[in-house]
This record gives sequence, structure tokens and C-alpha cells, in this order.
Amino acid sequence: MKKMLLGLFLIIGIGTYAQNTVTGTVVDGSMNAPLPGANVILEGSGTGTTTNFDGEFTLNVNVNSGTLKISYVGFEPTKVDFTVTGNKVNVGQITLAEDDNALEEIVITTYSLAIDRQTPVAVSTLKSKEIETQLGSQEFPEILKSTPGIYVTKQGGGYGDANLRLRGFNSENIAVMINGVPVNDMENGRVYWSNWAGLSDVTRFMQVQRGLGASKVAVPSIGGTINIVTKTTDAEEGGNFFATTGNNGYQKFGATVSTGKMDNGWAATVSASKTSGNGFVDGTWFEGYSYFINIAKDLGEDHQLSFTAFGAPQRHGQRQNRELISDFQRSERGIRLNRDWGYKNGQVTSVEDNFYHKPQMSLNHYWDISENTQLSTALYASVGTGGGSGFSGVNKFGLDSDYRDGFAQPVNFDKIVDENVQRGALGSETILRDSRNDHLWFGGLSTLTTDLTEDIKLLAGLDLRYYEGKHFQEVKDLLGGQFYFDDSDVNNPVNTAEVGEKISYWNDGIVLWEGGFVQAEYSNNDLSAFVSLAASNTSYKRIDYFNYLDSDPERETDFQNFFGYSAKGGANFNIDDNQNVFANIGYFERAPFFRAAFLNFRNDINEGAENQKIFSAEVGYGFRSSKFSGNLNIYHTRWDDRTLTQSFQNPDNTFGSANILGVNAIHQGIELDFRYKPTNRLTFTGMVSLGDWTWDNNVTDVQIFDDEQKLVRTIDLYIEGLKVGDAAQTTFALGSQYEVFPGTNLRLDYNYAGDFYADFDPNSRTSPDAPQSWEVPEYGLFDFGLTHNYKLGPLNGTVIVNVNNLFDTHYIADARNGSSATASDALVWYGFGRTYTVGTKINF
Amino acid sequence: MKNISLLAGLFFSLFILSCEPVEDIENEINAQLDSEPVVGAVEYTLVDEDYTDVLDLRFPNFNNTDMAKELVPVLLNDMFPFWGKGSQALITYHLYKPVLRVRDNTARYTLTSEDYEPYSRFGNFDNYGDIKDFLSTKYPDAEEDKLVLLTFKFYDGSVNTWTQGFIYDGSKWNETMRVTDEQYEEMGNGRFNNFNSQDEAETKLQLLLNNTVFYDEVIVDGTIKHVLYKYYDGSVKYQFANYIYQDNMWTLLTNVVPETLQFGNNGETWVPDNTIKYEMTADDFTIIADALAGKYPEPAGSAGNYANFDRREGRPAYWSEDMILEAMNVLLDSKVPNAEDGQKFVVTYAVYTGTSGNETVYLIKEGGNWIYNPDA
Repeated sequence: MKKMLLGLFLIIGIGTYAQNTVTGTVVDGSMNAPLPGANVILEGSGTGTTTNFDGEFTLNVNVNSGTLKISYVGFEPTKVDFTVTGNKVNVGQITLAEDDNALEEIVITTYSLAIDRQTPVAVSTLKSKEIETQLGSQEFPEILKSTPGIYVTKQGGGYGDANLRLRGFNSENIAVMINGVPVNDMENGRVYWSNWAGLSDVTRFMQVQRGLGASKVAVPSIGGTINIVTKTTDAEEGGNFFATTGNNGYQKFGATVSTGKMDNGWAATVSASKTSGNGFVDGTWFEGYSYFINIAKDLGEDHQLSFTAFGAPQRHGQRQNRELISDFQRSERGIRLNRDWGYKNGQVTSVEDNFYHKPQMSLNHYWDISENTQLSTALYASVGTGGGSGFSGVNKFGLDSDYRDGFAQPVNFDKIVDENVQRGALGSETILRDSRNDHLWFGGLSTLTTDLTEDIKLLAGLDLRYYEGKHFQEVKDLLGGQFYFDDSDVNNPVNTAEVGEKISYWNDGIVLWEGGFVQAEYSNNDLSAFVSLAASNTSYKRIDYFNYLDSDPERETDFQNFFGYSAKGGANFNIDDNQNVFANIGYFERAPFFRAAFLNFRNDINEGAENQKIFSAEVGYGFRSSKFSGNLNIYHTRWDDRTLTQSFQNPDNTFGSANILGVNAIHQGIELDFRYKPTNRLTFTGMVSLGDWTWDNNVTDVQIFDDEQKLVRTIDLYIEGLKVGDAAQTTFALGSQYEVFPGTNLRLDYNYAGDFYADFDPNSRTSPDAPQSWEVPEYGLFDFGLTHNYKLGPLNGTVIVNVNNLFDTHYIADARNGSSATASDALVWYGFGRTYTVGTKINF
Repeated sequence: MKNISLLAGLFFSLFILSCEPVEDIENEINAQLDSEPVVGAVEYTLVDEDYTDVLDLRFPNFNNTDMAKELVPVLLNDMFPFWGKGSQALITYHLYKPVLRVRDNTARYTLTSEDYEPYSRFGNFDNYGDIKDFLSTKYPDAEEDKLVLLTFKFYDGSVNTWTQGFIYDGSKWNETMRVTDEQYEEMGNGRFNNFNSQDEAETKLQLLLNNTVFYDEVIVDGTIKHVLYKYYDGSVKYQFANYIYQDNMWTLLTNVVPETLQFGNNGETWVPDNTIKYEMTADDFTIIADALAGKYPEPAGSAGNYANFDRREGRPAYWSEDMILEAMNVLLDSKVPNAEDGQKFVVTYAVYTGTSGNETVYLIKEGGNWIYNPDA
């Protein structure tokens, strides 16, 4: 089959005034297949290139002999000597052996990835093989749990529900990018991992950049950046099929098929899977699908086009409510207790469930404008549809409700239905509703890279986004009644709502984003450095269809503009072949979120909403050798002016607001990680992360005055010295992998979490002697894994077994502080007990 | 191999180190849960076996209310040993309240002319008060149940000579209603003008009373009639049948009456208790929200809107314990404005603490105000 250069990874061939040409082919030793995107560098110079889709490279050099250094992430770097005869030489096939020691470089500017021993940030990279063998039935971000600074939980335990904290910051402060495209919610900054529940199947690698990160766009990376890079079109025709089963009816199967490069010049890869089960937690049934398609084509020599679309529609029962530890103890269901479901007409029915589908499409264009200049552009769109369910009307769902057949038993919906039927023309007393959060998002991201000199590269780009969020509730199930009376819509204040009709609220949030960035990179032998500037204008508009009459001009606000920017820089120095040191420093101001721009769930504009300010500095040390690699980082992050807004009424009944500054936190700590491979069959991995995350200072005696300078209220917050909650400040991990027989690997991993304080809202700490938030008991969990390769006729197969929480340890993964700051009134979610998956994957 | 041993050792020590610190908390909470009482409520009427078997009494009733107060807790402890503080029992039992009976000390007396002298110069009586006064003088040391068949003259338009029974109930003399010969005849006992048994008497006399119109008397609920009758049991004897007028009819009085008393468990034992248990409804929250909207706008708004108290400290809608007490005063003053001092309430209401739940408070009225019951 004729190969064609797709060059998705081809970015830069640093030009020299070359007289000679070196060519060759780089091959993945484990698959005996071409390796695209491998780095080929002429040692002792800045000259280098990357292999094309067929693993081929052509490097122009101005020397007659030398050494090529070939490297690729996850492979052992190799050196090849060459001597030119007659202006050219073909060094032939170079085989790279897979190397789990190495966290090697990836040169994909578009994806803002960090390069080992070059980009001065703290970074951890996971490859598809680790995800494939270790994830099991865990939620996607849980694959990162052994990464320093990461604390990740399943929240209530529903399928796709997960919460990841990085260096003590929640998802609002962690940038998540998929193929270089930011996916944090445009209004509230959060990441809904359930939108990406099937993405793990098609992830090529996942890189966590802690702290400032390598992203060039102005993204909210206080805690760090998580880059997920999906697979692209496979070179060879073929594919794989996999099937997995597990605890509580877990079932997953899927397949990937690649056309390979077809005669008409096109290539496509399609992947799909289905996951279903009942969930470890009671009432957390789920059904999820995922699909992925990538189509690529070359347009002439200098243009490549690639289209990617993926999505993961799902619906799952949730556990939305945390419970008292005593209620878990009281319930015969123990840690599986979930109040948010019951039976209706004999069928499992959730009070709280979640459904979402967010197809994400992107069209990527790569253009080699000249030898020194490239342009990479991504146009993307995503359409989110879905939301979460709950009840409206009278709450009949308490743990000791009469609508359960005993304490904490499933809800008896039939009783509610009977009552609603009895009520007749009075309408339903209690119904189920969906809270919808649909959106439409278009964006364009374009990066121009040009080599100013041999050592200095300039990158500049644009980041434009349009986002339309639609928020409303609608009647999902009248539970037997004739209608549900709702008076929330001023345009229809006597609404006898039926299924599908909007109730409670309906408003749109429009967000415009115009960002630009410029970055200069210097790289010469052992020293590399960068400085980067990014700025963005965020504009918010709110349209409220329920609280304002159709005729009311205040129904739609003007755009409220907020300016944010970031400046950062850093340098890496490679001391020798084994050691490197780096440092980075940055400052950025982030625009307030949508909810700070408009208050009271109305079009009440918060004049003068303040930016949050972040300063961060970090130093790191790295050591690389064939058997041992390790990293040590020390970071200090200041987060100033966390949003604190108060609203009040002026004497003339107009709305007033005050933005209070000075709610500050300091997150600092030390992170260490290592990988040690004493023999070819044995690997140890480990990490220690010691955080010191505290609220910095009290904010007291802040007086708020109304328009007539009358004192409205005085704000006192007592937070100085309080530990930041919601994430374990001390974590460590130890893992080992041992090849018992050729092709059979056993894995044992241990993860520890401690210094974990229950979540609380610092803006609610108004009494002076409030104690430290409750310290959740520390815990340590073991995971066990087995992989075994086998042959099935001409096919290669792998059996994958995962057991998580091997010893069925009881532990509290999430906790919210109660008023006594003790175990007695904390609301918690227990983590899962022992779970397992057994599956196989067959390549064809 | 050395590496394997090292690895095994490392993981083993991690395993030893990591033995579930959450267990300590769970054990502590479980200990609390174990000591936490089961709280129940019951309405119960004692059956005969409760008196005779459990309490070892000779008769299936209590002699007086004090005895009930003393012994019902014994029974409740026996029946509900697993119920603790806050439990309530509404108990109905039989109280022994003997009715008047004819015993051996029957006297017969016919008044002489002199006997009337303190009361009338006409040699007769003209009201029953005088007769009873006479009997008190005549039999100053009368014992309970003493029956006197008195023959006397009575002026009632004209002077007649009557024989009527009077019985002493330990504190006063009561006239009885006497069955006339015509009435025996009417009831089918005219041959000897007596009944064949006490049972026959009680049955037929109840029918008789319910078919009799009392023209000259005011009969109200609670009016008691002692009917003196004769029956044959080897010889002719006198006896009473006692009837009470209730719900528009005459009913035979027995020696026991039902009485109901509420008991509460104070954590150690059951004591007579007037506590009323109450669970707040959405309407109650509206009453509170309306009353306190001016004083606590945000908390009141939230309570009215969600029908619960927001108990998240520091939030604008937060309800402190003092505020909740104010709310309870509003609520109880509206619900039971006439409650007397000493009345106790146990009120349960919905709260929001990040999740929905319930809280319970113990209240008592003192000096006209509801306060948290310090003894609860």
C-alpha cells in the first residue's frame, strides 16, 4: 500500500543552510510499525526534524559526519552515527525499543505539551497502554491518582461522575484541554468529567502539567493543566475488539477499525463502545456509549487536514446527597447507601440522575508556510445537551421519609403517585424535573510558529470562542398528577405545567472570548527558556425569560466585559545527560465567572466584579538514567481575591453590590516522583506529594454602604490559618510491575491520602473561633492488576484484570464540614469497596 | 530475587500501616448508635393478663390513679424494654371505682311523730334534704353501703306514706329509686314482685329506665340512679343496680371505669408526661416565615420557600438555635395559644445542611414563654 505523508506530528524542521541530506525510517520496536512524530536531532547542534506518518525523516545537515539522536515518548532514545557520501546518506531502519523509564519529548506545539528536559514545568505523562491496562472500571481522571498533587474521587459514585483536584485547587482552577481545545465550562469554569466518560478508549496520552503549565492560551491554570490527546488515524488497516465484565453487572465492549491509507488518499479510524451496569453504589445504574472518528487527508505537500469527532452520550443514576457517617452505619446498605432512588411500578427510578451528550468536533489544518514557518489551526464546535434530574414540590425523599418502606430504604414512588392521582385537579404535589444545561460552543484556535533565528522561535496565536448556555428546568415526570403548578414565569404566572414544559427558571448565558498570545522560545543545547504573554477579553450577557416580561428591556443585558491576562516565563538547564534543573514564574489575572457578573439569579449586574489574581513560582530538578528517573519540584502559588460578592437593596429599591477583596490562599508544597527499573522485568514507580495549602488572612470589619452611604452590613471572615479543604494535602504512591512470565505482568499499586480536611466555604466563616475543618481519616488503598498476552490463531490478544481497593478498605473520599467540625455532622461520601474488571482485547 | 523481597516487604508494611483509620470513627459512631435509644410511640389498653400476670394483681384494675402511675411504668418496661428516652405511651386502664351495693347492714325504720319535729310542724317531710339530714343525725356512725329502708310521710300536694331506701356512700346519704309493684308486673315479675336473679334485675331495670320519662327531674349526662330492687335467692333480698345517664341512655355502672394517662420515657424509666409530639408541616413554615419576615428577611424567606430551616452556619439564610426558638414561640403560640405552663412539646422540623434532614427540639412552656426544656 502506498504510504502518504499525513504529518499530523510534523511540526518543525529547523532549517539550516544545508549541503547534505540524511534520510532514514524510524520503527516502533514493539509493533514493528513506522513511528510517526519521532524526534531526530543532530547531536551538538540545534538541527532536528520529526518523522512523517510513515516514520520517515529527511534531515538537512551542514556537516559530513555526526551522530543522530532519535527519541520518542515512551521509547528508549537511540543514537546513530552517519557519514555522508555524495551529499546524502540513508541510515536505514532505526528501531526504537519501548521504554517505560523514559518520559520523553513530544513536539506538538498545537497541543501545548511539555517536553521533557526542555519545557520548564512539572509534568507527568500517561500513555494509552497504561490507561488501557490500569483504568478498569474507574472513572477516567482516576488514572491520574498516582500523580503528585492530584486528588481524585468518584464524587457520589455515579458513572462518569468524578472530581479532580490539583495542588488543592478544584476544576474551576484546572485547565483541561482535549487535543489542545479548552473544555472547561465557559460560564463557571468547571469540568464535567461525565461528558467524557468514554474518552479513555481513544486517548493516546494524558499529560498533567502542574502549576503554570505550558499552555500558551490564557486558560485558568492555577492548579495546572491536563492535556488529553486522542488517537489519530492509524497507519495500518486493522483494528481491535474488546469486551470487559466486572462487579455489579459492569459490561463494556467496543471496537476500533482503521481503513489504513486507502488508494484514494483518505484514511479513517472509527472507534465505538458501550458501557452499562448497575453501579457499586445502590441506584447508580448506567448506560453509556462512546464514539470517535478521525478522517485525515493531505492537500498537496504543505497542507494537511484532519477531522476529529467524538462524544460519549450517557445516562446514569446519581448519588447526589452526601450522608452522615452515622446514617451510613445505620443503614443496612452501609457504604452503598444512596437516598436518591427508588421503585416506581416495580422499576428502578432515580430521583437524581444525569444525562448528557456533548459531541465535540474539530477540524485541524496544518500548513507549512515555509521551511521556518508553520500555521496550525483548529476550528471546533461542541453541542451539549442534557442535565440532571431532581424533584420539585414537596420533599418526600428524606432518609426517614414516610415514602420509604423503612429508614433509608428505596423511595416508594407508587405512594407519591397514588397521592398525586388523588389530588386530581389540584395537580401534583411532588414531581421529577430535569435541570437542563445545554450549550452551543464554537471556537477557533490558531498558532503561528516561526523560527526567528536558529535558537529563537516565536509563537503567536488567536483564541476565539462563542458560547451559548441555556439553563432551564422542565417537567420530567408528573408522578401521576394532572399537572404541576408553577408561578415562576412572569409571562405566564399561572402555569399548569405538563411534561416537557419549562418551570422554575429559564435563562441564557452568552459568553464571548477573544484571546491572543505571543511566546518566544529560546533553545540552544543545554539551555532552553521561554517568555509568554496572553490576554483575553471575556464578555458575558444574560437573557432571563422567566423573571422579566417579554416587553421588559432589562430582560436581556448588555455584554459585560472583563479583561484577563497572564505573563509567565521559565528556563530549563540540562546540567549533563542525566540531570536538569528548571524554574518558572508567572502572574495572571482571571476574569470573574458568570455567576459573579450577574447576581441573585437575575439580571442584577455586579458593577466592578473583580479579577482573581494568581502568582506562582516553581523550581524543579530532574534525573534521567536508563534504570532510574525522578523529579523533584517545589512550588509556591498565591491566589488572591477569591470572589466574594455581597448584594443588597438600596433605599430606592434598586439593587446594589459590593465586591470584597482580600480572601487569599497560599498553596505551596514539594512533589517527588520516580520510576526505577532494576531489571527488564521489574519496575517500581512512586511519588510523594507534601502540600501546605492554607487560607492566608482574616478579612474583618469590611463595611458595606448603600447609595446613600448608610451602612448595610459589616463583613467579618475568620479564615487565617485554616487548611484548604476538599483535597488530601499529603499523598504518596508506590507501584510495582513484574513480568512473571514473558507476556504476563502482575501489578500492585498503593495509594495513600492524608492531611485531608473536609470541604467548606471560606466565605461562610463568619465566627471568630471556628475550629479547623474536620480532618478526614487518612487512608491507603491497594490496586492489583494482571495482563497476559496470548495468541488466538493469527490474532494477538491480551487479558486484562484489575482489582481496585483489593482489601475492601473503608474510607471516606469526600466530606463536607458540619457546624461542629467533627465526624458527627460531616456529610460524606464513602469511596467504593473492592471492585474488579476482567476483559480481553483482540487485535486484528 | 532481592528486589522481590524488598517489594513484598514494602507493601506488607504499607498494608500493616494502613489498617483503616476510618474504622476508629465508625466504631465510635456505632457505639453512640448502640447507646442511642429506640424511640417509639404507642396507644395501648391494658388487658386482664397485664394486671394479673405481669403486675401480679388480684383484680384486673387499679385501685386509684396513683397506683396506675406507679405500676404502668413497670408494665411498659416489661413490654418495651428496647424503647428509650423520648418514647411515649398513651395508656388506658381500668380504675376500680366500686358502685353502691347492699351488704348485710340493712336497717328498717319508721319515723315517729317526734322525728319530724326539727323539720316540720305538720308531722311529715316536704323535701329530701331534710330526710338526709335526719338520717345523718339518726345514724351518725353509718358505714359505707349502709342501707336504710325508711318509712316516712311526705307532703307532695297531699301527704303520703312512702317506704324508700337510702344508702350511705361513705360521705353522704343518697336516695334510691324503688321499683314499684306495677313495674315488677310490667317486667313480668309480678307474681312475687321480685326478680329471679341480680342479672335479670340489672338487664330489665336498664330497659325500664330507658323507657321511663322523668317529668320532674332534670336528667343530664352523668346523672346517676341507684335503683333498689328485690330478688329471690333462697329468701327475698335487696340490692342496688346503679345506672349512669350517658349519651342519651342509661347504662349499668360497673365497679371499674376506664381512665387514660400519657407516659413518657425519660431515659431511665416511664413517667406520667404531658409531652406532645409534633412534626412541622409546610404550612407551619409559612406561619413562621410570615411572622419573622421583617426581623430575619433572608432566613424567613428561605424557610417559607423551602419549608425547612437552613442550618449552614455563615449562610445568609442561616437559622441559629436562638432564632429557631423564636420560630417555635411563633408556631406554638399560634397552634396552642392556651397551653399552660409546664406543657411540653417535642417538635421535629426539616432542615437543610447541604442535604435535607430533620432536627428535633424539646420545649416547655414557662412563664408564658416556650423555652428549650432544660430537663429534656
